[in-house]
Amino acid sequence: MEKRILTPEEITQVRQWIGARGFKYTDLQAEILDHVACAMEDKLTTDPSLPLRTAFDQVHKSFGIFGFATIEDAMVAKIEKQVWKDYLFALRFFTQQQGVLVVFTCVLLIYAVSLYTQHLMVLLLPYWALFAANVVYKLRSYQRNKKLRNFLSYRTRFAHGVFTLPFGYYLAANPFWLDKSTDAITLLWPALLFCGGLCLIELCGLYAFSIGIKRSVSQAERYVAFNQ
Amino acid sequence: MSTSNSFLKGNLETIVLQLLSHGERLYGYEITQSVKALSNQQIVLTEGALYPVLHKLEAQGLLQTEHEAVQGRMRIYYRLSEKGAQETAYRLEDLQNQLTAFLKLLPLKPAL
Repeated sequence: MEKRILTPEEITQVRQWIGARGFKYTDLQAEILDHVACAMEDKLTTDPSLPLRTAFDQVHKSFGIFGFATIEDAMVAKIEKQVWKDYLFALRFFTQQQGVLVVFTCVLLIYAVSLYTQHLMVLLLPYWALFAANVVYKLRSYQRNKKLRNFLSYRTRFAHGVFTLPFGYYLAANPFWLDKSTDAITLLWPALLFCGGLCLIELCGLYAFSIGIKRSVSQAERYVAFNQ
Repeated sequence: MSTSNSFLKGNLETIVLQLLSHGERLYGYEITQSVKALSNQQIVLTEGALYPVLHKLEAQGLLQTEHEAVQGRMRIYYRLSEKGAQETAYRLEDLQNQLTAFLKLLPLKPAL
C-alpha cells in the first residue's frame, strides 16, 4: 500500500484548522502540525476514501478531552522552567561572577547617599532607576519584537517578565525598619542590605529577561527561515 | 493507554528514554507508534501523555531536540543527551530492582 502524503495545500488547510481551534502561535502550531499530519497520513493510507476533515477530527479526538491544550500546557511548563533557570543563572552572575561589581556599586551608591540623608525614597533611588529601566526595557522589547508576539515562547517569557515586575516594588513599599512618622530609616545596615537586595532583584529580572528574549529570537529565526 | 494507567504513568519517562537509548533520534508520532508496535498494541500512548513527558525530559536536559523540514512542515526530533544516557541506565536499574521486589511480593510469574 502506497503511503499517503499530505500535499502542501492540505498542510496549509490543517494548519488553519489547528489555528481555528485557538492554537495560533507559530511554534505551538509547528509542534502540533507534524504530529497531526503524520496521524492523518496513516489514517488516509488505511482508508483513502476518508475525507480530510474527518481524518483531522478523528486525530483531534485521539488527543483526549483537552485536545491540543495538553501540548500547549507542556510547552508553557517547559518555557517556565527555562525562565527560572535563567533567573538562577542571572543570580549566580550577580553574586558570584563579574556582576558582583554592579551590585557592589549600587550598595556603595546607597551608602554614599545615606551619609547625607536617610530618607527612604532617596536611598532607594538606585532601585527605582533599575525598576524604571526594567519597565522601559520590557515595554520596548514588546514594541520592537512584533513578529515574536506570534510565538508562545516569547509570550510566556514576556508575561513572566511583566508578572514579576511588581515583586520588588511591593518589597520596597514595606520596609520593616522604617520609622513611619518620619519616613526615615532607623537601622542603616539592614537598610543597605535591603536596598542592595532590591537592586539585585531588578538586575536579575533584567538580565534573565534579556537572555530569554535572545533565546526566543534565535528560535523564531529558525521558524522564519523554514517558512521562507 | 490500555494497560494499567498508574503503572504506565510512573514508568513513561523510562520507556521514552529507553526507546531513544539506541542512539536514534525519533519524533513524537514515531515514539507513539514504536511503543504501540513493541508492546503488541498493549500500550497505546496518547499524545496528551507523551508530550508533557518529552518536554519535561527536555527541560531536565535529558533530551536534545533537532528541528528539520520534512514534507512541508517542521519536525522536531528528540535525541538522548549524554546526561540522558546516564539517567536511562540508572532508571532501568531502579525499575529492575522494583520489579524483582514485586515478583517476590506478588504471586506473579515472569512471562518468557
